[in-house]
Amino acid sequence: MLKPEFKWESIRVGQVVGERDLTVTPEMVAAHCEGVGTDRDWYTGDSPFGGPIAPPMIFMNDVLQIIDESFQRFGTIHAKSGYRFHRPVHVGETVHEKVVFKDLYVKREKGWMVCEMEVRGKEEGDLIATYLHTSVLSLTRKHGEETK
Amino acid sequence: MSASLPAPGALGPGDEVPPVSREMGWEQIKKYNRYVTGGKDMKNIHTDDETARKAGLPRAIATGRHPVSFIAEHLTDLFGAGFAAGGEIDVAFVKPIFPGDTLNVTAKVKESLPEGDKTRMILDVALVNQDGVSVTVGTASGLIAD
Repeated sequence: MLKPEFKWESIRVGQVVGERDLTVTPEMVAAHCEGVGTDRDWYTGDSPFGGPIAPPMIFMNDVLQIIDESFQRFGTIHAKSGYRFHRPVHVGETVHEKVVFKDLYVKREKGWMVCEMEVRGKEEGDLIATYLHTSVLSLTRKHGEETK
Repeated sequence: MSASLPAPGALGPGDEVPPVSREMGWEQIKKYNRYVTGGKDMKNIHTDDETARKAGLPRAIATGRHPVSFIAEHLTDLFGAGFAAGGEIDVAFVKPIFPGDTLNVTAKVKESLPEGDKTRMILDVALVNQDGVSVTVGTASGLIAD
């Protein structure tokens, strides 16, 4: 089935974009560390939290990956980001990610979208991190206006 | 924790955290892109000038998210466990970051507020390029055990 285009007609506040389970592997952590140029011992050896933990930004691309599982996205302008790190995730741990559209608004004649990804422990369901992602979309309808 | 940084409890409003400098070279951007794409080398507006020009950009630009990790790592150096469990970042991407840019990660103490049995230190943070232009700006915070 063809995925809908990622534009104003396709999204609503409160809509669950997608969710998935993800196990944080040593390979994933190593690739992230190479990409961002960090070699902190905590990510491969002991840490104050007992054993290796993942970098706090390990899930930063997952918002867009989850959006891309549901929509055809042709590029968006990423304007703002917010991150809340409640606890670190241990390497080997499985988490549950859920992305929800939180806000849609119009500013300077452009459509803005805010979505939030919660990352929770798969076993306990406790909140590990929250990622807020704000993008500018092409405005194809005014906010609140129904598609004809 | 970095030996070159002061203990956060020794900092007060207006104090600047010693900055770190990070290179946003082509190789770093391509390594990051491989991470994002699961190990594939892909041409996109972040890795290829021609693709970027076709999209209306002057040349390739780095993703905004990538260098936010530089802020997160710098603040992990500063706060240690108090950033890994309790850290926050809110930033706006105000100017593009180009391959070859050098970014200074800056942080200046704004205020400290009690939070439970700890103190949350809030800082103004920015990524400043080699021309002195702030390309990413916002606030961040971490927890300090009392």
